[in-house]
Amino acid sequence: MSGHDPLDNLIAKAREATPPSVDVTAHVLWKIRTDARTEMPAGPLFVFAGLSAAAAALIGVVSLQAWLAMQDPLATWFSAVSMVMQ
Amino acid sequence: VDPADKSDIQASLGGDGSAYARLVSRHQQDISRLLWRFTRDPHTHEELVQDAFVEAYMSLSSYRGKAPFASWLRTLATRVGYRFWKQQARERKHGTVPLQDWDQESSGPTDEATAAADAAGTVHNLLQELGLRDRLVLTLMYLEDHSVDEIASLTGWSRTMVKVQAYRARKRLKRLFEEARPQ
Repeated sequence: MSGHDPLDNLIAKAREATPPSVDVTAHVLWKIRTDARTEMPAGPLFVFAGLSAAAAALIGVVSLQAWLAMQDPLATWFSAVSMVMQ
Repeated sequence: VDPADKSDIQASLGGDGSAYARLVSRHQQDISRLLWRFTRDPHTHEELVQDAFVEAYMSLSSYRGKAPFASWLRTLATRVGYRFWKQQARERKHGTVPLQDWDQESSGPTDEATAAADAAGTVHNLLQELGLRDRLVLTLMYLEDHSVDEIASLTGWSRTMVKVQAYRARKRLKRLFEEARPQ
C-alpha cells in the first residue's frame, strides 16, 4: 500500500481500531456444561439399537420359515417320507 | 505448540474445565480482535467470540497439534465470522448502507482512538457493500494483515484464488470508496 492513497490511509487507520474488551470465559464454560447436560448419552441408544436389530433379524428368520411353509405345506412331510423310502 | 497450550488441551480433553478456561483467557483477546472485523455491534461481537470458543471446545479432539493452537483457533473463528456474514446476508434487506463521511485532512477527530474507530466503521460499511468472499479476503488481507498463504490456509482456497479474489475485491472496494467519498 502506497500510504498516499486515501483508501489505504483509511484502511491503515481502521486497522488501529481496538475491539471492546470482552471476557467470555465464564459464559463459554457455562454453555459447554449446559450443552453437555442436554446432550443425550449415546451408550443406551446403541444398546437399544443393537437389541432392535437382533429382534428384527430373529423375526425375519421366523417369517421366512413361515412363508416357505405356507408356500408348500407338505414339503416337510414329503421330505421325511422320501428319506424313509431311501 | 506452546507447552502451556499443550498441557491445557490435554487436560481439557480429559474434562478439566479450568484448563479450558485458561485456554480461553489466554487467546480471547486475539480472537476478539479478529471477530471485531466481522461486526461492529458489541453484543454480537461477544456472542461470536463465545461461539468460537464453544465450537473450539467441541472440535478440540480434532486438533492434531501440527500448527500452533492460536492459528487453529483463528481458522475456526474466521469460519464463525464468515458464517455470521452469510446468515446476515440472508436476513439483510437489500438497500444502501449509510456511509459515514471520512476525510482525514478536514475536521480531524479529537483523538486517535476515535479516528480509528470511525475509520473502522467506515471500512466496515464499505465492505458490507461487497460480496462475502470479497469482504473476507479484504478483511484478512488488509485489516488483519495476513499473507496470501495464510489466507489460503484460513479459508481453504487456493493461493491463486486468493490472489485473484483480492485483486478484484480491491478494485471493487476502491470504486465504492470513490463513489461514497465526499467530494
